[in-house]
Amino acid sequence: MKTSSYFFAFALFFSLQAKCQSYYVSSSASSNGNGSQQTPWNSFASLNALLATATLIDTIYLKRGDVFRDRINITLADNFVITAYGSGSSPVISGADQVTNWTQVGGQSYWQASISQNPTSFFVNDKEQILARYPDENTYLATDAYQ
Amino acid sequence: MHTNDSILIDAALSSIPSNVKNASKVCVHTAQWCWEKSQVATSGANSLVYQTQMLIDTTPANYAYFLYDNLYYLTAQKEWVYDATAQKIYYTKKVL
Repeated sequence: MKTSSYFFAFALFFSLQAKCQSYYVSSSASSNGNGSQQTPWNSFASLNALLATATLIDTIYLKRGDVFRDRINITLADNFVITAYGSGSSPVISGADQVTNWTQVGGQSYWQASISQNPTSFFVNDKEQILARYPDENTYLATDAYQ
Repeated sequence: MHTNDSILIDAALSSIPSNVKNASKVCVHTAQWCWEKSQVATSGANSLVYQTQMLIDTTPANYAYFLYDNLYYLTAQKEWVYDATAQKIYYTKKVL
């Protein structure tokens, strides 16, 4: 009787899958939570600290209606989704600082506010305003000559 | 011919006080695709001396330009200017 030997190869595949977390951020939250939907982070500081440790992240949820005057430090190695949660208008990540505490300059028709950085542009209600100049916008002086 | 230029001459400059001119910046349309900017170094009644030279074609004299970066020019609605020394922004319309 012919005997056949059968060799069975078993390949065991182990999938070592790291646990990917999702986090929630709301700039309107009164205090910095743990990144859950119930107690979201209130800035990108905790997120950036986590990204610096190369922790795997699945999704970052930004609360609708919030404005984030902040930045997320993303590298090419990062691979996650940034999306919105809640209701209302889309969340905004803005590079602009808000200017507050305007006071009218005595005897003048203009207003003033303190800001420490030289602005490149100035917006009011999302509309860019005009850098003061002479002559006024869309008009120019013309040179007579050069030396 | 293009040459490095440092003085702009225009009779219309006589209407602006010299202390204002000296504390301004100037922006000149030196080519179709180019606006060059410089701080004003000194000025005469009808002239400005740039702090940074500009590359000018001296044959056509009529280059468009404007002055900016001084509270003196804050005259029209929606205009703003920043005073770096005082660290203040000035605006001609009330902002709440």
